[in-house]
Amino acid sequence: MNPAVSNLVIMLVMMQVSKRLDFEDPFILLCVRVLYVSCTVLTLLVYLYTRQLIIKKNDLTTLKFVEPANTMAGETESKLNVTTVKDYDLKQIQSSIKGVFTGVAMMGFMHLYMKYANPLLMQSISPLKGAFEANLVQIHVFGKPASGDLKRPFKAAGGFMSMLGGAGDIKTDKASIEKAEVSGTGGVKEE
Amino acid sequence: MTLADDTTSEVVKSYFRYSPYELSLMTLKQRLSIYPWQTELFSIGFILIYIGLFYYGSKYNEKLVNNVINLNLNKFKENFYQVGCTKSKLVIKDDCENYTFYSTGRLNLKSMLIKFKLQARQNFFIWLTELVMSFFLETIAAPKDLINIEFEFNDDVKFDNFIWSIVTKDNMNQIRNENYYLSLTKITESSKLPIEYVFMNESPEMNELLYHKDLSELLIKCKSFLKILSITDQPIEKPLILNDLIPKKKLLLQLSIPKTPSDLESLNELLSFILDEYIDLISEKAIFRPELLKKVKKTRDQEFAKLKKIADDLLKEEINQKKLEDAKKLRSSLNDEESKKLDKKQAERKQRRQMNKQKVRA
Repeated sequence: MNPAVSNLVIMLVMMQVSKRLDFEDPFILLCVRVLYVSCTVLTLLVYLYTRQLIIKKNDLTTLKFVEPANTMAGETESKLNVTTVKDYDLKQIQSSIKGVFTGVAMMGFMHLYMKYANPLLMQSISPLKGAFEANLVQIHVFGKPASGDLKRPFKAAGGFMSMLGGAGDIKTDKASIEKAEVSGTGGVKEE
Repeated sequence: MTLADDTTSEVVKSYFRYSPYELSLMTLKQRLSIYPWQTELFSIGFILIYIGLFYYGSKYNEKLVNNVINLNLNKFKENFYQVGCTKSKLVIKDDCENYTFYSTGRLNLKSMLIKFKLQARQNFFIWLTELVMSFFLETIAAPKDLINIEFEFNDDVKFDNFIWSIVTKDNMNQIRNENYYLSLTKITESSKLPIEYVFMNESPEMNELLYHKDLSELLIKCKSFLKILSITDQPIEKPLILNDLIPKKKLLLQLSIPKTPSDLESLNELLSFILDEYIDLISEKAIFRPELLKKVKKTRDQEFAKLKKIADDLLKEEINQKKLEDAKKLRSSLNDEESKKLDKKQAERKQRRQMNKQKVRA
């Protein structure tokens, strides 16, 4: 099933479930909390395990692609990105791991400060589902071939953020790579 | 009640429970003896730990630097007339993280400059914060040790301008972003190189001459710490003015600090090869056929044109600004009648210009 569709289904089901749960009941609250913590830890473990696999594989095949200019950061030229499969994967997995921590921080605010218990239920299932659907987990843990949709560089999931950025897609054709390769964009002194 | 009993019961009482009047009745010694010193002891303990960590960290950094310098000192002495920054001081400590070593006086070379940029080990708390923050924020780099070695060639060496480098694949995108000259090169993989490295150069044809047969073995030995080996005439920092583009020929090395004895030994082998053979080989032989150099020259011309355009635009803007200011000044110095005349004149001129334009179009 399409991840977007299954997400929607899960969300609707969970909303019905959480309607029927009495979060005032301390036992139920405890159960939901335990569920959330264990799911988060499991998500983290899936990512860390994948990270371990990436490091062990140490795939040093080089990867070249042209990233669109980040207009939000004030860049005007698109930039060449040259990396190895290992570095690329590590960077991706790092951002996923960071995502887990961001989620926990948000949840901490919502639950501990605002005292909402509903989102705990939703937020325990969807990150875990997301982890198993992540490109890198599919490739490294489930051993799917890195082609088609799983071909690096991965395509952005699209949607709201990419519309905001207003930039185009990542380019991998030879002409744009060769043009960006010798553009002399490096060594800009910051501060 | 005896006096002794009195004092013991008072000691049990907390210092802050005494009224100022009661305290003023006591002697200094009495007051000191009943004062709770926990906060002060804690502060002093913390300061002592901090100083201890500072001392240990900075000594450790110093040891790392001295290890590298001492092991190669004989090689440097064989090659250079002046070894060390001054006669009395080999290494200059810029601060606890930055150390500099300098040598000069060798055929074909102007100087050799070694810059150590180490982790902030002397400041444990900053170091820890950086380490943790680097995990969450991309803008903060994780602490790491780097050595940059720069062999600057004499101005009168005869070899061509070019950029030729061997770069480690680890974080190579970041390395390219940090080094201007690398971002002018093409990246090519080669079966001649160990799998951990790529060529970044202006033409793969240069490899035949510059990729010395001993290098491949050395690269394998140094792969745990060697990041960049390059020969370049272009700067590391992106040039901002035209003068920055004047070629300065250099051989650059970038490494993380070798710590194990075998790594230190490999570094010594690499430096020996560079100093004993490679530098002279380049100085005498690195001359290429003219077709190849055309491409090299084209890159530099393009960069020159880019900077020239920026400079010209700036100049134009300045001239325009000045014109505007002059016009303003002129107007403020005129009286009503004269300014009306000027207005009329300008209007006429504008009209004429428009007419001319129309004529051209027609």
